[in-house]
Amino acid sequence: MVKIYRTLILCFLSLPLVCCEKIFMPDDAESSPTATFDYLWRQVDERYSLFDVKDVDWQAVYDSLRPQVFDDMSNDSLFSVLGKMLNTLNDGHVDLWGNNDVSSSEAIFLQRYGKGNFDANTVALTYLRANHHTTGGFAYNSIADGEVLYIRYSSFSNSASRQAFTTALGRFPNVKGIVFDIRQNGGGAIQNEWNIMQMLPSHGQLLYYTQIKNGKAHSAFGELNAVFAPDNEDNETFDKPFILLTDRGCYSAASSFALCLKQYDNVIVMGDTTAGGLAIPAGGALPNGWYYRFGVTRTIATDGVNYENGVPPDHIVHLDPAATAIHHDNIIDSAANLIIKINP
Amino acid sequence: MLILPKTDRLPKYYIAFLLLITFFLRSFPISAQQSDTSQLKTVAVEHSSGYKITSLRIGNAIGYGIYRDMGTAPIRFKGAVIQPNIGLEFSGMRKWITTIDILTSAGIFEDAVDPKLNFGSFDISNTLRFKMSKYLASLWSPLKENFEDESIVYFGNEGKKTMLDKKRYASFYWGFGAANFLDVTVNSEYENAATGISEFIGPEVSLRADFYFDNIFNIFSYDKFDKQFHTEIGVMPVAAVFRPGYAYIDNYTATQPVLSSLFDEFQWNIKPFAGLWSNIGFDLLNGYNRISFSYLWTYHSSGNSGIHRFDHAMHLFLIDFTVTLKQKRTGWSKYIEL
Repeated sequence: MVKIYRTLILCFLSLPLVCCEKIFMPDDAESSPTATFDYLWRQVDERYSLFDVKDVDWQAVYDSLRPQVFDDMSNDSLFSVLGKMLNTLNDGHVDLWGNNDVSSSEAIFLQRYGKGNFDANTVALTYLRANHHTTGGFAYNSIADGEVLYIRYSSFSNSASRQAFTTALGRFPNVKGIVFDIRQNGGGAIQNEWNIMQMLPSHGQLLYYTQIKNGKAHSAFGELNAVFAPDNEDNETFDKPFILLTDRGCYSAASSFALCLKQYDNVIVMGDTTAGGLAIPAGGALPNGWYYRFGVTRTIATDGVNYENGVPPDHIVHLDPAATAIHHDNIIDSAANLIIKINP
Repeated sequence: MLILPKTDRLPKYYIAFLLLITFFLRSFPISAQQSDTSQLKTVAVEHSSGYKITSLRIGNAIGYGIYRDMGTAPIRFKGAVIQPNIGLEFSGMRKWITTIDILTSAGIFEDAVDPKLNFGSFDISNTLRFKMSKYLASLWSPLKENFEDESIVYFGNEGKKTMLDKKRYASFYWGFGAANFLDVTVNSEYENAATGISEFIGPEVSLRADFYFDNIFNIFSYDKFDKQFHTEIGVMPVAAVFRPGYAYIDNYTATQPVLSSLFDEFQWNIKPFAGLWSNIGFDLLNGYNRISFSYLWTYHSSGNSGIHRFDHAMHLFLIDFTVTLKQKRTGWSKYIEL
């Protein structure tokens, strides 16, 4: 009997031996350069949400670049080919990290630094000045003989709390309007958009629609979801003229902010078209451990247009080099004059 | 004949654990078999089947975890895991034993292809298990006649009091209940897909066997503790699995308050055999209290039931303590001097 029980014990003790996840989990994907290239191409093909506005023949991209990939190629060479593939999308939300390098959209880079409507020295010396205030992510001072409040917000990654906005207004309570400058703002946290919008008078107006990719086909999207202006939640709102300055350096959350503010009654968007980037990017890792990201949603404006490649301003004004030569920003000046004209 | 799997399939941690157990057992005084028991005041207690015991189980485990979420990467992430646990046990002689366990694990993970320490990549899982186990020893025990008249013999000496029947080698149980496994993986590199939430909920069945070391190896020990092996395996025969949808994004409406749209894109799916776990180890018993040393393996998988497959496994070395909170005898007892 003891023998039987000892055998039984061994049987039971051996039971957990079969309980190894290797039996149930399929092996990891192959991590060779060709497999990595194919994986990234397929991920973009099946999940990227903006083929309709990027006008790219993705199959043709595969056909032209795939022959350049070999299993014995170096990591540098593979990184270069993958970067080239993603660059065909001209999308600032499409990036690749790996091999101690980052590959980003060259088109967005050139827009930001080649077509920017912004001169940082002029803004600092003439409009913010040495005695400017800084609260949270806002740098601000009065301009136009104290009649206009100029707020510089350089990144949506910096805090833009309602309290900071209220503090800035509290320092200059008698201004006739605000020039809110987000030129060269590359985006950041969308929550900051929300915070600022809560300080502007809302009547629950429609801001935009959003759709999420839900299938492999390039046209496979879920239902349109309407996004409305946030409640003011008993905040004391700013209902005087509010002019938002934009340029080709505005991307992602900054573009989205411009799109939303166009739906506010007291807001005018001035400057240049933004660089776009309204889709929300999601990331992942490749079989070789490198990381990537690209947009998986799309944003449709209230007029039915997808402004993924840039949100146009209400008033187009370009920076005049002659003005900047004498430390003047003709866009800020135009905005201040417009405020005084609207609210004399 | 026992056929073991191929060597390269044996989990090395399991082998290490068996070696540890072997070493541990060897450290016990085998000479105790030859001890003279005649000088000891040994009594037996014969009693009816009634008692109720409430016990608290608390412990901690360390080990390593592994997960792969095909929604974000086709590669495994591995890392060190710590898993504190707490449980309650309500038992009565040959009645249903009810247990409630909460096991929470946390670990820092790195991808297996390009390992680099990344505190932005971690995994937190929580298991809530409710289980009722039925004692099945009467089916297989050589002491069937004893169980039928619902009597059991207690041996005691010098403060030692064990619940083990001298002639009993093993106890078998089967159990059923419900299990909930919630796993949250975070990888800051994935930006808006950084948070992966996976929820498994469903019924669970399990089998458990306890083997009484002293009796099987014919050791009459005077150690403070009696010793037993235990082995247990559990399975979720079917589970509802809640996972991110096709685009795999945390909050796609973006400007809406996060909580209102957090799970908009998530989907429920039904998965057969979504969870498996096993526990093998060694217990030191003192009355109804015990210290357990175990190797615990857990595995959950969404399989191909959803859009993106998710696999999660942990290998843990567990030490837990079970202490009696409340003991209530409901039957009769008769002390017999041996």
